[in-house]
Amino acid sequence: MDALRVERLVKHYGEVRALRGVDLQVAPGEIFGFLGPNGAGKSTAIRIILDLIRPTSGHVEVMGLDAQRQSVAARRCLGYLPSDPSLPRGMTASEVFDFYSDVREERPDRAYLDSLVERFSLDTTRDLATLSRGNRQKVGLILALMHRPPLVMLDEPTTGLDPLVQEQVDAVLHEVAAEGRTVFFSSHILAEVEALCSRAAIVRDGLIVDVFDLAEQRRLAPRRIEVRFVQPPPGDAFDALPPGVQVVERDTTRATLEAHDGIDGVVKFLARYPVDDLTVRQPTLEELFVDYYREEAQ
Amino acid sequence: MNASLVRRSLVDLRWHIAWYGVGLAIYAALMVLLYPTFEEFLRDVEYPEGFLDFFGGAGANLSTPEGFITTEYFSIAPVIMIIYAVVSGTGMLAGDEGRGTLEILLAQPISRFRLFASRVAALLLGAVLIGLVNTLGWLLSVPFVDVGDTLGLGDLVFATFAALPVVTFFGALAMLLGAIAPSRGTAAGILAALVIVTYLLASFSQTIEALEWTRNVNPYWYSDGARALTEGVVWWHQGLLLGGAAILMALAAVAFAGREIDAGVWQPSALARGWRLTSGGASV
Repeated sequence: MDALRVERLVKHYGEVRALRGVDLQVAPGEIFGFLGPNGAGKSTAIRIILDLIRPTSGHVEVMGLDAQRQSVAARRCLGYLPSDPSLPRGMTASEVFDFYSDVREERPDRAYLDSLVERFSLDTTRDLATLSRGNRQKVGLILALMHRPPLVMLDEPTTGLDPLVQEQVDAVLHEVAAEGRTVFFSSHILAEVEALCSRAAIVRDGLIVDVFDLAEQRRLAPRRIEVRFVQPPPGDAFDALPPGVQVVERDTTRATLEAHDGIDGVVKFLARYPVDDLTVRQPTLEELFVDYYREEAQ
Repeated sequence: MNASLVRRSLVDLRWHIAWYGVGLAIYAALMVLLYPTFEEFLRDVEYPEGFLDFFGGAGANLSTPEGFITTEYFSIAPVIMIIYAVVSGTGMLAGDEGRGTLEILLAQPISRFRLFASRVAALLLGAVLIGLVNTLGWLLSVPFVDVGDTLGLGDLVFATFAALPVVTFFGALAMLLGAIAPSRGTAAGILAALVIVTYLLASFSQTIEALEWTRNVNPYWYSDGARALTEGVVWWHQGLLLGGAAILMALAAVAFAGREIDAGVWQPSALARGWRLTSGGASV
């Protein structure tokens, strides 16, 4: 059973086609990235999954439950953090946690809740109105996590958080996945998705245009090799590059190469010349993403 | 219904309840305390024909305590209670949506019907609490003033709570409009205009014969709030208002079940969508 299954999801607002047939399957234990620029349809899809709005057509299942017909049961499997969480006024974080537990009619694991509060360095005694954007975000995150739901849906979760807390959030989400629960992580910050997610879908104009296996993507992605020679190599030296290696850029003592089939051949080729400096790196998801959109635009 | 939601909604309404209640209590006490000062003077005043009728005291004698309190207090107090119902009724769900707090609430495993019922309970409890605070005004004034034998504390408390059916009716209308209007502001604006129109029509229809027919369709006319002390209430009027309120509440609940949250547009189709979902057995 998928943690989340979305089939041919379409949503029209009058003439506007917000979603044009989205398909998704997210397995239990995954940290799944949901990527796309603003207006691509990410929030619309999330709001349909939560039954806040209804699809024009298509079908959504959360932990095998129909998100519309069994909406309440489906939402019991969900923890949700919106991109800009608005919380009730005149309450402390501690009161907010109690209030939503009462609404859910479900007590959270107190030790887990306390550990989240401690790890996110949250003062639960202050009125929410006096909290910074980042601290309100922490409250929203804990609300989404504290009942240990099988599916955690986070929309831009690290907005406003300092790097130390972001690190803790990443660690907590990895623990969630390690417990076999699922994280659905919507973001437009590609480095964040790259660091955290096992798979990611790219949304564009209301359609899923690609689903990456990020581990596989990292393994298969071409390597960029930047080399600085002690002396300029002979002019025809690069004619002897092994197959699958291309020269991206070159001047007298520097060259940037791209290796599509591993770097062993490149290392052996470079060993023929005195090398002053060498860097090997993978293209970032951002570079892949930008390339993807550029190709699409063309 | 969810007790925690009812409690929280009442906490959110606490200042509304306090200010409407205290304001009405002070107003009520002042009118009672002022009565002896005006009693003799009013006995000799000749009012133009229709003047008292306009203020709801049809057939009332302004020099009698019930006539004075009816004209000076009960011609206005129900309107103030209705304003509470409109402001709070539209604020209950449409206001939450505007503030963005409805999104996290509806992401919890609670059905929209339960959320709706909890909010309605808080709205009505708030009206009862305003009535109780209002009653303090009578308690702190009537025992200290000679209001004769014809007007008792019980009559005033009864007349105060006689406004509840019309308050419930307008509260239900506020919930319904809040469920299909683009925003709370739009819903409240339309209802404020409707309250003014119904109040004026109810008043003018007592003096202008050509407007008498409007009474049949005017919920404010059926409230009897302005006549409760002098003529008593007509029970079928109250039944009609409560029946109408029940129908409007049911429609509002179905429309809320079908509402697209944060869509920012008129949603008359929410009713049909809500009906389709609930009649199809969905646990909305």
